[in-house]
Amino acid sequence: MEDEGARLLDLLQAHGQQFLNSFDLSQPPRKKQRLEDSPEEPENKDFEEWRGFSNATVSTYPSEENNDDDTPYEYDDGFTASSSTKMPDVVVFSDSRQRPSEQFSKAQKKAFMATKLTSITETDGAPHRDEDDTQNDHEDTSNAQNDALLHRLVHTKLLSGSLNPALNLTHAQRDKALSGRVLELAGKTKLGKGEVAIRAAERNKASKRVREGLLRKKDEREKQQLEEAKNLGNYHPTLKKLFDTSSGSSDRQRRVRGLGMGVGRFSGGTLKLSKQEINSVTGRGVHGAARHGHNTSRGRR
Amino acid sequence: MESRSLVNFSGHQYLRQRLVLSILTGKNVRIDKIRSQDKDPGLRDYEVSLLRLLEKVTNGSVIEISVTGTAVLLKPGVVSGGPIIHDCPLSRSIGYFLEPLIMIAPFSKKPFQLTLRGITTDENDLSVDLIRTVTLPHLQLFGISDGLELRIKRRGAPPEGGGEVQFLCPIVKEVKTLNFVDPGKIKRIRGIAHAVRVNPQFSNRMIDASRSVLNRFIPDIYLYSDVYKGDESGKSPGYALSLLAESTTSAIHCSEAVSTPGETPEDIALLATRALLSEIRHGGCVDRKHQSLVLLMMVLGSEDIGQCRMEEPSVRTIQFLRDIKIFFGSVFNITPIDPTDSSNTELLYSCLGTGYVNVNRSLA
Repeated sequence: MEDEGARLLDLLQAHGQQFLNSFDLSQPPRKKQRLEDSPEEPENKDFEEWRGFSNATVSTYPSEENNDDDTPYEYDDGFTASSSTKMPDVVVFSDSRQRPSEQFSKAQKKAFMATKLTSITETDGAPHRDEDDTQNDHEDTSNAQNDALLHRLVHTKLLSGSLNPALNLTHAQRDKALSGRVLELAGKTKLGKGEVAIRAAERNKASKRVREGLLRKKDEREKQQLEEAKNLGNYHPTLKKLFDTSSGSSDRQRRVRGLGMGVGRFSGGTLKLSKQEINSVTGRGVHGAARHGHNTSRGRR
Repeated sequence: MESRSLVNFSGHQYLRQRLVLSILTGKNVRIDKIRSQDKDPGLRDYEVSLLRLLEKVTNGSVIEISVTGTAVLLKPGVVSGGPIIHDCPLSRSIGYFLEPLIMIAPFSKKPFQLTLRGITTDENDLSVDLIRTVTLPHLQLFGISDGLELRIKRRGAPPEGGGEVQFLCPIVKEVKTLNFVDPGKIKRIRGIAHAVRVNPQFSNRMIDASRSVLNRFIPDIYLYSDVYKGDESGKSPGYALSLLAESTTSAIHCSEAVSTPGETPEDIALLATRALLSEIRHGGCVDRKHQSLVLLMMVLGSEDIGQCRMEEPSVRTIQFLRDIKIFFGSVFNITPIDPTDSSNTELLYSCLGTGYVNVNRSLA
C-alpha cells in the first residue's frame, strides 16, 4: 500500500518536472525582440514600471521586473525540448516611490495647493491620522458628552419650571405643566405649546355642551385681550399671529392649489408628468433599481 | 510747477524695478535711449502693456511715451488698487507683470483684486506656481499675510496662453523689520508638476524622475501633480515642474523647469532637481530670484536696522541696490558672514529702514 502511494507520488513528480522543463525559462529570444522595437515601447507601456536611475541598466528604456541582465544570451535553436535548466536570476530592487506618503498627505495636499497663504505655510507636526478614524472619534466623544449633558439638564432645569414655588401652582396646574414640558422635549409639539396641547386634549374629553362653552369663553377672552392691547397701544399689525384667536389660520398655507388631477401638474394648458408618475400609472419599472439616485433618506433607519 | 524731482535713466533693462521705485517714492522718472540702436527700436508690446497696467492700478499717474517709443516719462500717482482686470500680451508670461505689482500692492489705497489673463508658465519669468508658494510667503515675513491669495483659475502655456489668475493682497500701514540670519537645515521639499493638453502621465514621469534624485536626502518629499482639464487647461500643450525646499527656519529655495519641444519629461525633471540642489548649496535665507523683493521690503521697513543673510547678489540685484540709493538714499551694509572661512560665500545684508508708511490707505 505504502510503496504504491510512493510510486504514484514519484510518477506525479516526474510528470511535473517534465512539464516544467518543457518551458524555456531563461527567455532570451523575447528579450532580444523587445530591445529591437523598444523605441516605440516607452510610449505604450505602463509608466508605473520605470524605476528611475537606481535600476542602472545599459539602456535607458524601461525594463521589466525579473530582468536577468547578468545571464548572457544563450543560443536557442528551437529544436531541443529543454534548452536550459538554468533558473533565472531574480533581481530585487527597491521601489523609488514612497507609498505611505501618498496616503497621509491628502489633507497636506489640500493645504499646500490652497490659495490662502496661511494654510500653505502652516507646519504639520504630528503624523496625520486617517480621516475616518478622526470622525469616529469625534462622534464617540460627542455622543458621550451629549449623554452627560442631557442627564445633567433633565435633573436640574428642563422639567422643573413648574416647581417654582413663587408661582403658587395647584397640583393640577403643576401636573399639566409637567406633561406639557415632556411633550415639548419629546418633540411632539412646538416649544411653548406643550401645555396648550394638553389642555386641548382634555377639553375634547368633555361633553359637547361643556366643550363648546369652553371654546366660546376662550374666544371671548382673546377678543378682550386684543382690545385691551389696542387701547394700551401695544398692538401692531405684525403681531397678528400673537393675538390669533383660532389655530386654524396656520393651516391656510397648505391649501392645495390647482386642479389636482391626481398625477402630474397642470399648468399653461399642459399636463406635465414625470417619469415616476408614468411608471406608477403603467405599473412598470418599480423593481429594477427603484431609487434611480433619489430617495436618499432610505438609508439607515 | 513740478516740485517733485526727476530721475533719469537710460536703457530698457531693469525697467520694471525703476518704475516700481518711482511709484513708491513719488519721484518722476524718465527713461530714454530704449533700444535706440536696435533693429526694432522703442518699447516692446509687453512693456507698453505693463505701463498701461500701472496706469490702471494707480490714480493720477501720467505716462508720456515719445513718438519713436524710445523714451518714456512717468509721473506717478497714488496706488489705488481695487478690482482690476488686465489682459497680458502673449509675448511674456503673467509673472513678468505680477512681480512689480507684488512690490506695490501692500501700499495701495484699497486691497488689490487683480485678474490677469495670459500665459501662466514661461521659462523667462517666475511661473504662477512659484509665485503662489514662494514669493507670497516671503511677503509674510514682513507682516503681510491676512487675505493674501493667488488663485490660479486656468493655466495657459505658450504660445497661445489662455490662463487666468486672480491676485488678492491686503493693505498694510507699514512693513515689519526683518531679522533673518539663520538659514536652518532643509526639512521638506515640495513640488508641483503639471501638464496641460498632453498625456497626463507626463506629470507622473516628472515626479518619478525627480524623486529618483531627491529620495536619498530627506524623507519628507511630496510632489503633487496638478490636474487641469478641459477649458481650464488653456490653449496650448506644455508641462512644467516647480520645486521648493523649505528649511527649519522657513527659508525657501525654489527652482523650476518648463517644457521645450523635443525634451522628455525626465530631462525637465532632472533639470529642475539639479537647479534646486545648486540653489540649496548656495545657501542663504532667501534665494536669488527673490533677493530684490526682500531688499526692497527691508528698505521700506520701520526705522530700525534690518538684517538678512543671503548669497552673493545677482547682476539684477546689484543694479537694484544702486537704484535704491538713487531713489531712497538708503545704503546697504554688506559683510561676509564668516570672514575667516573663504569657501563660505554668504553675505549679511543690513540696512536702516526708511520708515515708509502707507498714506494712501483709506481709513474706513
